[in-house]
Amino acid sequence: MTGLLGFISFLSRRVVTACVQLLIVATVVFSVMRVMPGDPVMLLLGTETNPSPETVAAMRHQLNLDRPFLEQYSDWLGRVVHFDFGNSLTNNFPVADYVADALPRTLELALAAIIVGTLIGVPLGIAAALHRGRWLDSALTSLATLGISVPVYILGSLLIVVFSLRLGWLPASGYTDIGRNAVEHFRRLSMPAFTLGFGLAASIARMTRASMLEILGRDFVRALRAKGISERMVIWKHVLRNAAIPVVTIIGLQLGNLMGGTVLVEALFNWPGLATRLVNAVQNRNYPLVQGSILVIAALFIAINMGVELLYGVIDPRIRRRRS
Amino acid sequence: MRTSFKTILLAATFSLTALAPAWAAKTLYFGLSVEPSTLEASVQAGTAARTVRLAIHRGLLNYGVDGKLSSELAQSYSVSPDGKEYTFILRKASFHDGEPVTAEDVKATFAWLLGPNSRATYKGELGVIDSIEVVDPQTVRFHLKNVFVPFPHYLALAESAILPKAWLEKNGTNPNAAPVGAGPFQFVTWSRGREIVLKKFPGYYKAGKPGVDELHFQFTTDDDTRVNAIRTGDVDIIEYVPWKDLPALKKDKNIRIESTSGPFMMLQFNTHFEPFSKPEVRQAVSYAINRAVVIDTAFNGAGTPLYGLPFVKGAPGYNPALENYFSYNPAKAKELLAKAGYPNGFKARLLATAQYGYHMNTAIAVKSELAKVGIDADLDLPDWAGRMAKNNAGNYDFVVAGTAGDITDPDWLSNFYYGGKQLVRMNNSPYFDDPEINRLLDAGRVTLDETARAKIYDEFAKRALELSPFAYIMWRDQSYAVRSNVSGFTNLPGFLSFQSGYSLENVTLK
Repeated sequence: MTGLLGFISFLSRRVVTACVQLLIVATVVFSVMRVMPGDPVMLLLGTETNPSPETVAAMRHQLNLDRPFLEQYSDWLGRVVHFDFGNSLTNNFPVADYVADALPRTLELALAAIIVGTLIGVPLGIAAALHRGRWLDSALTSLATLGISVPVYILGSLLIVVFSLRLGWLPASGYTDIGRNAVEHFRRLSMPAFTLGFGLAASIARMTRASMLEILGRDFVRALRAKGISERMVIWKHVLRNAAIPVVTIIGLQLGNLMGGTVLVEALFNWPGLATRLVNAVQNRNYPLVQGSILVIAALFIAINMGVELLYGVIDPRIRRRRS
Repeated sequence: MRTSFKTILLAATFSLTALAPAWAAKTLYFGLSVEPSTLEASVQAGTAARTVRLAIHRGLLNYGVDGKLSSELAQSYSVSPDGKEYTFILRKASFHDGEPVTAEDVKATFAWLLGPNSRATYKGELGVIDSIEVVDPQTVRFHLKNVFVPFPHYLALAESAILPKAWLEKNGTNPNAAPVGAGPFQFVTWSRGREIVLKKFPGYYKAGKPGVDELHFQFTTDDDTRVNAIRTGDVDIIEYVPWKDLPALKKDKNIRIESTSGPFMMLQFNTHFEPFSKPEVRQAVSYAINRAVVIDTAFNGAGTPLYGLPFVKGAPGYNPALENYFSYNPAKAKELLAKAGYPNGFKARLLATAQYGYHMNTAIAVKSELAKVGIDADLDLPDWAGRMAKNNAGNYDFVVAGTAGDITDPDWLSNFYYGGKQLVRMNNSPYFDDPEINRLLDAGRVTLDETARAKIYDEFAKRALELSPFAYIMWRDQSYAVRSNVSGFTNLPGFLSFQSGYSLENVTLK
């Protein structure tokens, strides 16, 4: 009973913290956008000529940009708590629609990267752990170091040169709807997913290796072996299962970080996700779109981290207790 | 075992490759350098938006592939002897909704464009329209407030497209409405962040055009992404070929480069403060810059030095004797600086943008050239939006600009040189207001006689060079890259390069 109550108080405290974090993000984004030089009205009125001051003033009024800073801020915040992010300055499209349209593609890319990272990282990590100290281990460890240190931009460009320009196997960039042509969809997903997933595979491999080695050194493993259980059973049934917990955590935590990693990959492969859109919105000083997108990304990041932390608490009650 | 896995992998990849182009039969893919901020017909929102709009819309006139005015929805027009009445005879054409293009539509279009809620870019120039008279359904007459010789040129701009009256009544204030025009392609969808899709308009008034069924404009903002897309054949045409990639693309036998030497790079001076308030100092800057250095540094050699005014051969005011008014002459630059009271040079803030490599590299080259005559240029390199804000506020000593005249009539100069009420503008040198220049520009607008008009611009050219509110640096090559299976696409000559979207109606695929 006390356990449950403790959990609820822990949970509510985390939710309150998350809300405060979001408020801080919202305030910072809102202020930074307004402090930045650049006038969305002038950009909107076309960059090749000189709109009259009256036209500029009328436009500014129409977009509500002529009101005092604090009034704009409180008005925006008031609408955000009702999940109304306002409309894009350039075409009056609801920001929520923009986000709803682009976010799934960013998540798809991040998820695909995690799958790629896991499929490559876990087996390599296991192989390295089982061949500890031998040449395979050193080779895999070096590869992992390389994977972590190569910037996605370099790796992505390299892949494009090899697979698109030299071999001509894969398109260099772009996106096709899965409904329109599923094969084409996955062909275009493959290179960005691999680019993003490669670095992740490296950290997963290292984590798997370390975790495996730790478990392999435990007494219960020695006991199992002493009992005469086959090595295969020891590794696959007992060691791997125990080693999986930190690996799963790493994967969960990486989802948040991957959201940031998608920016470069999306730009490089012209993947139409939220990050690409955000960069364009900043360039156009499209205030509501920038604010809305960043807020959603921040909320996701916070939610994922909170989820992982809660999961810790569920797995290990000590964490819960320490916090309450 | 290992070999067979490899074989399967190879086979899988190849079969995937083979499946891909089945649905791409008569579709043209066009790689734009940016997603248009708006497709609003009357707003000049950059080349990408213009290209799309020129596929959807037509005006009474347009600029044709030869760079001359071409009769589009108007089959002919006549001007009254006093130059204040323009009568247009419309041809039989229809909008994408099937309705015929009538004089009422023309009237409604310009009423909307000049109306109180209009955001039209050329509202000022078209403001010369006093009233529009519907003579009969196929005839429309414009009455002007005063003589305005360049009038047909402003009607030929992509931003003067004719829209259906009924559509305007319903959607005139809605920037998101699906556009309807009378051009070769009709609007299908705009997937935000990805592409704009158009399809062939079967009722287009030019028989046999357009030559492709579907037109996909894809947004390839990153320079390298755009270049890779054309090299791998993901797209068939790209705009704004980055200058650094020109040599490699020229070597590719599947691609041809369509270049026009039309837009130019220049420096605008803030004439409000010393030292740039002195014509000698501005002239000194012109003498101090070795144009070849800029062309090689920022444009990979793809440009032509500009030591005079950006007048095309044969245009009114073009004078071969003035073509090389300036020269690369650092000694002369120093002499002029000394005369102006700056024998040891000075410090000044040079605005450009880090967002576009060619702007930034131009600024860097100019800085190094000016250092040789003692002028210390402090670079100010915000992103494009930041640069625009500073530009429009006159918040700079001098600024790198890359642009072109809007129209081929010499009246494009008014936008650059005219003083008047608004002294800080996008494309002028802030606070430059010379009564003689203003007088000549006014006279050029109202002089009907061509010989007399040419003389006015001749006089203008001399005065403009003497005062030099701008330092012109170079004509830059503006290039499209086109796959060899595409024919009919034309990079329009000179200033009109940015309106090349017009030629999409001629494109066919092999």
